[in-house]
Amino acid sequence: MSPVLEFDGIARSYKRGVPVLDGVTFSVEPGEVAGLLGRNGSGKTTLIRVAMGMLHPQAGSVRVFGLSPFESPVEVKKRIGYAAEDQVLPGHSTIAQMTAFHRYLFPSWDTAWERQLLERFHLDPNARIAKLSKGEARQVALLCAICHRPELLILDEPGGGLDPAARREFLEASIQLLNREGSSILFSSHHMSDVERIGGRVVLLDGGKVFLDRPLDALRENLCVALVPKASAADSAMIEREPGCLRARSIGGDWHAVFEGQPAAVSRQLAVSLGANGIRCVQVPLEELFVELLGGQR
Amino acid sequence: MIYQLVRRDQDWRILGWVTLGLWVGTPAGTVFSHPRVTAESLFSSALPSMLFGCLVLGFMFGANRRATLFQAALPIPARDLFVARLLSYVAGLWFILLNTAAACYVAGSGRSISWMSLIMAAAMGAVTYLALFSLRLRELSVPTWMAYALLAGLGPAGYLVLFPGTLFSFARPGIVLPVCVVTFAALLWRDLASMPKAFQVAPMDAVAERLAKSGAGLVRPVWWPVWQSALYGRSSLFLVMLAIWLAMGMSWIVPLMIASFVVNALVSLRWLWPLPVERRRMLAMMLLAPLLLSAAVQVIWPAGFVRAVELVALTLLLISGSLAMYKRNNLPAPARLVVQLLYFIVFLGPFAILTVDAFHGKGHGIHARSYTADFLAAHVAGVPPAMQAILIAGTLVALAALYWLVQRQFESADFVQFVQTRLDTTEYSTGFRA
Repeated sequence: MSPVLEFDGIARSYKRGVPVLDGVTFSVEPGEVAGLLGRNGSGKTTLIRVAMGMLHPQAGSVRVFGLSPFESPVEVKKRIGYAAEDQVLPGHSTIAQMTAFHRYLFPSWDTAWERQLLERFHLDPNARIAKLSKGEARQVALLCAICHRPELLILDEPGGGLDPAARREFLEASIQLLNREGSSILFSSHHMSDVERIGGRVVLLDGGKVFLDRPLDALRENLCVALVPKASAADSAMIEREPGCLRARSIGGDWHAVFEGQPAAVSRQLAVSLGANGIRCVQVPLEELFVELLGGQR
Repeated sequence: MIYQLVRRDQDWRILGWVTLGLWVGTPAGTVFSHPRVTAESLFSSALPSMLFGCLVLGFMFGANRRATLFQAALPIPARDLFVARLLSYVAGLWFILLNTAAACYVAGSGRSISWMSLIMAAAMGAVTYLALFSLRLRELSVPTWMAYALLAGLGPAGYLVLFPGTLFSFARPGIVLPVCVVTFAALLWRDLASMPKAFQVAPMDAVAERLAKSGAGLVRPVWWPVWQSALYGRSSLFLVMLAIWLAMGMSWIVPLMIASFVVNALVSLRWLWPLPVERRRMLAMMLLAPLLLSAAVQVIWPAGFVRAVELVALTLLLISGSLAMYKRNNLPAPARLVVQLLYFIVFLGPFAILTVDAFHGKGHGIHARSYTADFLAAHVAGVPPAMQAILIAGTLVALAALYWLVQRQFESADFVQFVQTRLDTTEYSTGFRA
């Protein structure tokens, strides 16, 4: 089965010599959920806009449902649901006018689900969007993105502006429902709990490239953090040369290094190769892993 | 699809207000003007003002945007978005100009109206807008600085062509209309032929990194970031326009430019609001730049001379008017109506003065201003003393009400929040965001 979304060597920069994306390659299969992670400025929004056909890459290609979003934008967008953190709905429209417009654009619009979501989010269809709170406006945008049951849902920071209850409600009740029906989902988020709740696969962007691309379970089970006393290694590069080391950085009196493998095995390996005692290896939650992989002081 | 987009276009929102302003302002202009003013001459003077007003309003409400980020993500062809936006704007232009004609017709008791001037104004407005729309066609919006550069250049040029005077003789319909039609058709053909299938949120090519400034070691005053925020972007363009209009002698529009500058600078400076900075000091600082510029232009270019006190008074009045509009929706209905009426009266004041100025054959310099003042004084002297007292008392009450409202809004704690929310729900980001 061909991928729903395919990035091949995408490169994009806004300023000459400062690449935001520098050869990003990965794909999203039908029915797959992929969480796009990365620090601020790592290129998540840029990549999502490339997928939407809203930003031409300077190198590489993108295919959505096997089509180019630049050559066939209407055909592609009819099958996509999209909501972004900085996407603003027209303030002068009411919610009802907004959903009517979407019903007009998307023949597969599910009116019953729209009503259900309006009730669940306690939204008044006659309310003007300009009068809604930031979170309520986000809920309307998300509703507009999913009620036509898209084959591919692209969300840029879907939880931004939503309170924890509304976020969980949206993620569990809506996104997971769509996914169970076979929709693919690509979303970017800074909320690790969101990623853990819905993400089947994690794509980590760093330095304009895909730094890590793993299923979430593999990430949790096969990666560990080694705490190596400073005296055991002259610099972080020495630890990064060890097999299986993804990244090392200095924190206080220790080197913190992320390794592939089980904690016990990694601990033994480091004790032998560095000839040091007092090395501890632990498995950490996703948020800690994110900080260890992308945090400063490398 | 195009119809669906046109009917949802955000510009329709402001047309109601513009129409109300026209219908209130035109009779007001007639009442205050000299008996020799005819409907035709009133119309000829109102027309360029309205045309310029259309352009300014259009730009202020994002006319340089072909589509919003929200629309760009929907399955709508770029060509439909482009055509719908163009149609909305041109229809709005005609709507405003026809209303101008109708209001003048009613105010002038059925005297003749120069329909050819109307058609020329609409044609020039449409070409100006399409010329703007044709820039950087691949992108979601034309860069704001390009839009304002075009406005700053073409606005005064159009005014000079259309304004009744010696230059008007060049604006023969036989020349202007064919030029407009051919230019419009050529631009539209070129745009539709090279239209992208989807608009882009950023330019295709990466821009060069800005070179390091030579004065890196320069010590800047501590208030430098505040000045920079206040003067950067859209607000500075109002200052440029202010200088251009002043140099042309069109002093009546100066306070409007200053008010626009201040309101825009206020928005740019919203980051300052949570900080312990007195807001009146901020306002004073913002006012300083346009007033200094006005004074400089007055000195260098005596053609546009206007009394400084008059300028300050009008400027403050217009700024008060702008600020009074904030949070008006939270007021009870009668108070809201009063605020809106005050707002329109304040903003139409300069236009009324223009009308009086324009038809005494004295040009637009200090002589016309003196004549206007003398004329108004004579006009008021003719009114019975009891009525004069009522008039003065009414004016004072209105000004006091306006002042009270502005003070209330400007000092209220949630004013910033309101400005912020307004921005969040009406602005569309097309910035570079990685």
